[in-house]
Amino acid sequence: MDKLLAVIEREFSERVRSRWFILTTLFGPLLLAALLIGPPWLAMRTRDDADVAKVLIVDATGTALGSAIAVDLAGGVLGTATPPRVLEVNAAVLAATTDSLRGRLLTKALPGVFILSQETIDDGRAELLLPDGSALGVSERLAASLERQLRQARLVTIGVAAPDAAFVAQLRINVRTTQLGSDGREASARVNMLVGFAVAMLLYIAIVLYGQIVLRSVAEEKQSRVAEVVLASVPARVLLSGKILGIGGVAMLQLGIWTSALATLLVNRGRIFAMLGLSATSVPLPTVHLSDVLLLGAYLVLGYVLYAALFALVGSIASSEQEAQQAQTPVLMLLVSSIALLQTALQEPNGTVATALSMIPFSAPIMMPLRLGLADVPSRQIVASVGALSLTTVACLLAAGRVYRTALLMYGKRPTLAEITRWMWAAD
Amino acid sequence: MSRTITPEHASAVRLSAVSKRYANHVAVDRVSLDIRPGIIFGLLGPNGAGKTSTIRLMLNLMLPDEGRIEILGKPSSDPALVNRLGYLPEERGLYRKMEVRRVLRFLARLKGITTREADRRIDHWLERFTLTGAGRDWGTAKIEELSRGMQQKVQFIGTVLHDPELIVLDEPFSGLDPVNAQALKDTVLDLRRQGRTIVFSTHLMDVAERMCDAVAIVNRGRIVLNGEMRDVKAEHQGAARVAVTFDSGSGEQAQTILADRTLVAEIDHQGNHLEITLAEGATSQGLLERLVASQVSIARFDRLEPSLHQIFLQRVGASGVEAGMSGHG
Repeated sequence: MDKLLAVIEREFSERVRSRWFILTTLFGPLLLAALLIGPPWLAMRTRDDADVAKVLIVDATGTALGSAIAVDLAGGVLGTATPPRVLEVNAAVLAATTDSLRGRLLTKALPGVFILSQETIDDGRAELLLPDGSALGVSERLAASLERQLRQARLVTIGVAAPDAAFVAQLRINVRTTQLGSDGREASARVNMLVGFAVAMLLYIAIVLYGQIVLRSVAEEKQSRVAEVVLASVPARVLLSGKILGIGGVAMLQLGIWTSALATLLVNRGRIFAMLGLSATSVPLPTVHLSDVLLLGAYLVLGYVLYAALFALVGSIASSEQEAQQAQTPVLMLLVSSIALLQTALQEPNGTVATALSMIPFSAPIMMPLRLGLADVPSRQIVASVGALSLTTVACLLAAGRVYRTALLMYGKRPTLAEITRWMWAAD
Repeated sequence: MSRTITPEHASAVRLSAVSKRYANHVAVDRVSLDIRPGIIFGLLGPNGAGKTSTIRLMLNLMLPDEGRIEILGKPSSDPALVNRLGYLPEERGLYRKMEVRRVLRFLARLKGITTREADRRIDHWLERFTLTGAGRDWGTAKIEELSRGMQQKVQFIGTVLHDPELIVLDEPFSGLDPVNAQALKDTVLDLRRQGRTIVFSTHLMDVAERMCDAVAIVNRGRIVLNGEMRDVKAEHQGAARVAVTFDSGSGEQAQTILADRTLVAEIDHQGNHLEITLAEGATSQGLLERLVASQVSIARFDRLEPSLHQIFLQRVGASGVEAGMSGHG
């Protein structure tokens, strides 16, 4: 037991002391902060509200259409936002006015010019001039407002009373999609999809990242011949287990730091945004139960151990780190196949493809957490999936341990598939 | 630093008809060996003879296809044995990015030594191999910062840090400069004085000849010769031979003695230096006494013994000598 601890401790402490670990651990929270703060900050820089308020509405319709749009954009007659400026011109001088305004647009003195003419009244055609790099939301908001005002005007024209016309035309559609789970939980479908996708990607990245560390570590030990010294002191299965657990510990620590950083950022989001002068957009996060966290943790741990054993097996049969990188392709393909079918699973989380993939041990660590985030998965499927994954993980560990012992001491020639299979069945 | 031990078992290593086959060839072919405790034992043979495979079998790094292996009186698969064995593999390697002390502490822990005890021993050995002291403490350097010779010393320290009873060294002197090789030889002799058993493989016959108490020569997976060094030499002695060098001009006085056919069978003259094959029943002591009595001035008188290299050639023939085999070193 003490020898296993010695191997775990070496794997853990040597990695945690490395420059790689310190840099990536710090970089993670910085990246998360950038992802969290970046979009609202960028949005503020190109806020539709601010840009729309500065757009100049050139109204050559000879009606009050321009003013009506300005009032509408400011939030109605009782609105608090600043309305855009309206320049009413005669249709005859519209072209000349537009030309003179183009120059101001080019120097970005004006964020936009919205031109309304007789054509606008006749068939809804209007023109919006924007400088390069303007927010696209400006166009959508102006178009929506124009549509409302035109509809209202037309309703009045055909004899509908003005308040009735406003009642009909000002109707704004807003559909909020909510999925109801069997346990009565409510969740936003879009957020669920994003969270499910993020969790699947996170698991994929964690398995590949730390699995690769196991692969490189084994290949390095074999190439530098240090494996022979260690194997003279500890059995191969102890060395293998210690390596997987030690690197697993590094993963737990690093993922723990990243998760804590993310949680801290999310909890203090309002305060951080306020400090930066940003308005926090409310993102309804899905309710997370302890059972979800435990299940997710189980898939992460089992998935990591399963793939770490496979990566270790590949590392032990290769004669150099470069060869190990090439030889890992079949293992990577097993993982990548889950990611390749992610889109299908996202669209139909309880469909045949997603269900089958969440049962196959090699894709289950990614596919089942994804499904759990998107839909209600029957308990029997979860039990079957975890069971199959656990059994496969134990089988792979045992097989890898046996191959490991023989392959680590074989230099030069890469063993054939037949030889590897024979070692797997060899007695301890 | 090391305690002196008294062996409790008749054999340090006992191999009984052990075989190991690979896909295309037999690496170890019904090998039987008995190495008594407290000696330096040389496992000799050309590259690819099966020395490393035999060593790996002894250390339970590989399992034999046939035969039985006992180490320090226990089956080689006994897990308790690993802490009593020290092993320096032929292909050296350590964790390149780790500090010397941390590597040694790790290797000691794998052999059941506590960190505190390991630290005490590490200090002793680093000092003994001049890796600490005036100038610089290499104990805090990373392995990759060390020269090849220093790395070999660190690896040797890792082999003996836990004070093993049986020390197995696979080609320990290869790649070492003369100063480091001598330091290593002195340490090995010291370890024998303390009662340790040392088994080392080498293809350098003269190193083995100077250091080993007993040897086995392996060729193509088989033991072709095995025994105590003096017995092996006596067995291959044939007719007794001596080398005599007379001081200039005094050779003439010895002519009558050398012409005595009851004493001398054959003489190879090389000026004042003669290589003499004694007659049957004659002894080198008898010849020396006759020469001294005749007041001949003798510069050198040596009993000639066959070298291990010659014995190997005699037993296996020149065909057994492959690339990498050397009588010098």
